[in-house]
Amino acid sequence: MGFALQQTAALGPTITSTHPPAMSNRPISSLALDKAAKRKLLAAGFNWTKDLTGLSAADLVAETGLAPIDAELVLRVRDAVGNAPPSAAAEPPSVLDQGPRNADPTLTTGVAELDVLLGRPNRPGLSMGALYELTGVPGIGTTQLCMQLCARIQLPQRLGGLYGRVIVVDTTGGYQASRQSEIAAAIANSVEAPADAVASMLQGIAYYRVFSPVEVVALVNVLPDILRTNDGVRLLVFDSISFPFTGGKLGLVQSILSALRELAEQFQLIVVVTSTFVLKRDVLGQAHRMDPAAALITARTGNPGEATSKLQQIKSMSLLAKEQELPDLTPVGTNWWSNLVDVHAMLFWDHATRVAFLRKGPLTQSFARFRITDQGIVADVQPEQDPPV
Amino acid sequence: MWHSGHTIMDTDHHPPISTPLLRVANLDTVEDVLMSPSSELGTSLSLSHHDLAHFLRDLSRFLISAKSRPVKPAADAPDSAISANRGAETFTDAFVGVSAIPVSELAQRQTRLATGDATLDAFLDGGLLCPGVTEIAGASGAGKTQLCLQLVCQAQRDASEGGLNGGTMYISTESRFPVERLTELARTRTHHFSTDAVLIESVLELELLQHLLSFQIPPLIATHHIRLLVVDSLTALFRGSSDSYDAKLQSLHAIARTLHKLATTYQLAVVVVNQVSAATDLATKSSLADLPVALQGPHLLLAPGATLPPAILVLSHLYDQGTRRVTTRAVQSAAAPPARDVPALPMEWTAAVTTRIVLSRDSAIAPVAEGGAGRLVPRRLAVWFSAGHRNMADRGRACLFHITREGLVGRVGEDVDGHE
Repeated sequence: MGFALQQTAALGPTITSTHPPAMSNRPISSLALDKAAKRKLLAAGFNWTKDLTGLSAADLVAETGLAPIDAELVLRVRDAVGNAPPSAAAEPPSVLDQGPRNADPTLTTGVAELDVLLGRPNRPGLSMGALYELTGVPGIGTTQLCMQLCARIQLPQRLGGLYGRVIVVDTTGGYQASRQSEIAAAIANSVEAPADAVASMLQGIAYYRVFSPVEVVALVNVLPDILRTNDGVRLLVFDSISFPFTGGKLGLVQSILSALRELAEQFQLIVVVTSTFVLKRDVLGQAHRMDPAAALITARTGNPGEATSKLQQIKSMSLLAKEQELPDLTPVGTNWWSNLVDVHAMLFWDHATRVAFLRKGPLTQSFARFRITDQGIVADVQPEQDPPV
Repeated sequence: MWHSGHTIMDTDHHPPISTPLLRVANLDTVEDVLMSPSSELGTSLSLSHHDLAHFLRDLSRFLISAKSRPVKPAADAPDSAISANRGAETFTDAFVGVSAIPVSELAQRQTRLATGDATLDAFLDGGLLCPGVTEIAGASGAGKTQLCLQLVCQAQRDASEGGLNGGTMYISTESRFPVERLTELARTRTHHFSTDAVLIESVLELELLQHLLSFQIPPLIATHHIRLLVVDSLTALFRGSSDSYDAKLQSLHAIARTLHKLATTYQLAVVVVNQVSAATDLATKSSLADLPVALQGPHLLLAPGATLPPAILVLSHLYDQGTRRVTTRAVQSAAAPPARDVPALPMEWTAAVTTRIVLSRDSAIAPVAEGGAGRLVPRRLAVWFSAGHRNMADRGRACLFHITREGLVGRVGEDVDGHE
């Protein structure tokens, strides 16, 4: 984290663990502490006063990032609680309170196949400190997937979130607050969260609208300051990273992505950027003229009721696996920045199904199918079909 | 004019960089510095890595908070009514600062412009996005201009009726603006329609459009309370331009950025009309000579001048490119519903629009006779993708409509597969 640890010796004797174990156990949320301190404690995985047993102020500062003075206060409150009779009116933990934390938490998308696609071996989900790129054809759901992550990151770890806040940088105008609200509501419903959860989820997403390339550059330069004054940010979304730089300035995206990688590592963020496809260029750099075939792949073909036959599916998937690209289309960053991202997924249509294809990443799974409903991105449950005779 | 944008003199930065050094490096404005590759900057300004990072951060902070610092007008700046950005070279380059709002507040700034027909509006979840850039694509005669005129009427209505309480800037690039049709529509659709609130501009070149959008339109938006901006059509400008393909594409990107900035800054609904590629106009082409070049292969055994039967609506994507033969699949699918219209602007333009609406005439459905006044051609409106209309593709539907004297009228109770 970006703060310096101070020497607690200068502040006087530290509180040691000579006290008897706490006789009562209270949720952190019920303690008489200010909100920022509580937030830091919860984010670090402390839910109950018993979690603080045996810790010194220096330990607390290291684990939570609290200022030493605040850490001392927390310990004083812990001790006061420990000597007090258990309170019958202790606040029950909210379903959204942070639970016991993992050593290596990941953010889940809500769709198991996508988690496996974007995750590491045995660790499905998105990891902190990593840079993800989603390249999608228009309308496939890249922005909606980002919205789903924006809502889910705010969930506690045991529900697949990281209990963190979000910064969204919108460069295309495709971010509709009503849709984000809908997706957040669906997620809150699925975890049976209280009624005000949606409002606080929306409150936890900071939205920037930028237009020109220089605004993106300036914002990225200023992000370290922003992240330092707004701790608790765990997700950074750039939708899209390529749009402002189309028309000749794609080279700048390289330096921006390098900067974002550093930010991801320094502040332990998940950074997700979106991009589009472009027509392939031949050796001379000439783009092919618009081929209607490309248009068909960028749009849904086939009827809603039609299920792709298994044989067809296998054929088209293996073709893609061979070429790792769509015929005639390639992600815009292919020659510019593909080596800079940790995981790169492509989203497009395979007849009537939405497909995510892993172009770069720890190879746990190459393809994932998904659907979009009113609730957001969901799994695609297809009945098994026999190949045609 | 070298005094464009924010000069570095406007900023306070440490350590101070000497002006001659900046001038030698050809860096006048904040923008110049931030957009230069940092590897070059370090050497040309003889700054250490640490100092350079500091310098860039100061400039970036300045830019992000530009709202609080008015730009000093340049000596030869054009007289402009854009008070916040005097001295900036174009509207697109001018800054009003960048700040975050929580999403809970964002919802208040996003609204819709309805079409005025209940069925279509229900299909469109309330209407077009505002702010937003919506593309309306279709073959000639599909009803694109009609829909635009209907939106012009609707824009003047109150927000409670799905309007925007504002006027329109209508940029016409091909034919004469149909004033009579507009007044006819207005008579039946709106009570207090004012033609003064509809500004019409004719543009015949792609570069001039960018100029119009950047310089002339912003002041007019304020004086005429404009809330709807229509470009009818963009394809004509793109095709008509004699620049190289890449240069045209660059202009297209710049125009896209300007449209978005206008939409968000002034809360406009922006509508861009696009046409479809010639390949799908086959249904209306009657002679071989009119066919696009790709189809004039030796294997099409038709006499020159012969009518191409609709049953062999072969589109170039069904060609085997290698052997240039028509596959049997092609013949079979010709019997199937007609393939999707392909919007004519380049694929890169697709990323720039928030919503793509495609209008088409539906030849598969029999026209409805409207009591003696002639037969109404059935048409369909489909949403191919949209940030604000979810699930259109999964629902796979189009909305059928007619065009009457009153404008576009959706047909109730008909859910049709939105084919392609």
